[in-house]
Amino acid sequence: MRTVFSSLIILFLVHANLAVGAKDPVAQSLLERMDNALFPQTYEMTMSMITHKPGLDDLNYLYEIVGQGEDRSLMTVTEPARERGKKILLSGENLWLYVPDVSRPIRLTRKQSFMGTTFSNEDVMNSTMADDYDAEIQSREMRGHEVYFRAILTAKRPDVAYARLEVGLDSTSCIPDTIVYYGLSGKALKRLTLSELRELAGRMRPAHMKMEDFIQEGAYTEVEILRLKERGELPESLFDPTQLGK
Amino acid sequence: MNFVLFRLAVRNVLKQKRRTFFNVLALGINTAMIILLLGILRGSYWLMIERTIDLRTGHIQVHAEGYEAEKRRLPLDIAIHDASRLARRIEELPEVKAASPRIRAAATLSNGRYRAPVLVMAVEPDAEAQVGVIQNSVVEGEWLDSLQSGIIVGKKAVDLLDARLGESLLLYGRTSQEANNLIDVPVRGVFSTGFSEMDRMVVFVPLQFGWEFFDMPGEATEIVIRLNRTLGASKVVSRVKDILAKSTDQKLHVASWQYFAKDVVEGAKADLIFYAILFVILVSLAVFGITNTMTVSVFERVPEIGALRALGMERQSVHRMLLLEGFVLGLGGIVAGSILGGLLAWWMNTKGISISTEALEQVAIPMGDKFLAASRFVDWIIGGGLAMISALIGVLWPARRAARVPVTAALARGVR
Repeated sequence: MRTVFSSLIILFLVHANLAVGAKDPVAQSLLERMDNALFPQTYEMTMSMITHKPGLDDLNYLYEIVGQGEDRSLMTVTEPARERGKKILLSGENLWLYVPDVSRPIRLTRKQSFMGTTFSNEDVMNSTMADDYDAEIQSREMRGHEVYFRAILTAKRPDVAYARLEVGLDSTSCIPDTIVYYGLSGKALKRLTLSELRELAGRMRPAHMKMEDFIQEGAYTEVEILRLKERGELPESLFDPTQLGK
Repeated sequence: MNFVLFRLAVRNVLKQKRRTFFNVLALGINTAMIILLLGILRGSYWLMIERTIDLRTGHIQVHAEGYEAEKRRLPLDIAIHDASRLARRIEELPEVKAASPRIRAAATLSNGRYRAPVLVMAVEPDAEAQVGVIQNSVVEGEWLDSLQSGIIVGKKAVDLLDARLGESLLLYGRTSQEANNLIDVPVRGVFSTGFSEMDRMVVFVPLQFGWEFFDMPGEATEIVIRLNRTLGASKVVSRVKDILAKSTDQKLHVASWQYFAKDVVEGAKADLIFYAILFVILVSLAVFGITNTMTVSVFERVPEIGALRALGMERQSVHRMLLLEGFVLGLGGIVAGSILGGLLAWWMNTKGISISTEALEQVAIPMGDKFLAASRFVDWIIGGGLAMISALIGVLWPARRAARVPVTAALARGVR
């Protein structure tokens, strides 16, 4: 009942907003809720990433991850055995790669592919969209008791990674089920599909994600969240690049 | 020159036929080798330099200050503003044939199944046609048109991506502000330069397309200048700097092709040293050969020399006679070497030596698919001159020895 009521309120607000033709605060609010819906504030997680590219062997990685907030996370490779011990640190605006045999961590550029997957490093770094995009509701439909929105996210600045995103999400959970990424020319570059909602860290979250690359047909990366747990405060040293080898 | 001495010298040379034959042969081969090597050196390096200028550097380049230090990452954020206007101003200089603003950027080309990293050159089609040679290297389709969207792709890239004329490819890149961009672009033409790296990795699009795709309207990462002559490019640099200083407040860096083709220049310098050493060895071998045979000749002719001295020939005349024998040998060597060298040079200038495709793939400097010589008349003068010098140096010591032969001792040995 509460779900239906809140959905109707949102539907009313959307209509009212569209009629006035003002900037879309409801859409923006949905966007902010979406940013907070996927992961807890502080967490630990076990995640697998399998990348399939035509003509090449599949790349199969298993990670142990601890994260805090939007811009701090430490990923440690546990599988395959030859890559074990590698770490990827996101700290603020920087992404670092630590390889056990190399004394100093290497700073990665935003545009590089993330560990050979169809995600780029900036896809991993930019997990919050509200700062970079203006949202606008394109359409809505009822799915059972839920209102399902399609929103257009337009880049606020020319240096934002993607000029436009199309997001499909339901109003209650604010978990997107698809995100399509567009370049400046308006052509779709990638599509992220989120599915298999499961209770993870106390709420329903997608346990499966698939990022398809439209530049190369048949290339995609599948992410499986095997375990997700909320954590208390994490030590600062965990996100210090100078401490990666210790 | 004393004509009698000359006739004696000629007679002495012709008298020892076998020895003269081998001396002339040695000098001739030396001369021919020098003629051939000079032509090959000139041919291969001139070709390399011209192709570097045609395909890579132009004669002079202009960049925004700071671009050179960052050029490895192909920065789009360090660009020349109002590039087309500045290019037209540069073209006002009488030494300049054309100036072409370009955007040089990294990108990915895909046919949807395979993707390949490429270097995109966004150019003004008309200006670029005069600055570079790509327009003349189009083997299928047509050159760019500034009014129509399209891409010119190298033959090797077309083969790798299994693309066809008229078919659309996906071009993925980053704008000057690092935003992602992707667009369909039809293949308008296919080029083949013979330079493997270029045919595989470089693509050309109109500059206006580049302004939109990379989100940098009116800008260029470089202006490439073609002069009417290659020689003297360094001198024109200062004139280009002057005209730019009057036309814009931007801080720009201007340099000639030698600055951007350091690998070619250094390679040529290193090879020149190698060739110089080779020539020294060749000349030394000729000198030692002549010295050896003439020393033996003098030893055998001691009684004859003694007789000539007894008949009134001065030491100086004996010395001159031997020198003239060397001179005659040198002349013989020059004639033989010029003929042999001419034949070899003809072959190398017209047929050359083919370079395998596999070898060309490994080379990062634009070379043709053949080593061809570029012989000049001066090569014969140098070769002939060195042959004569070798012959004269070769007989110096034997001539001195012959001049010092004591008459009585010589006569005592008896005349043969």
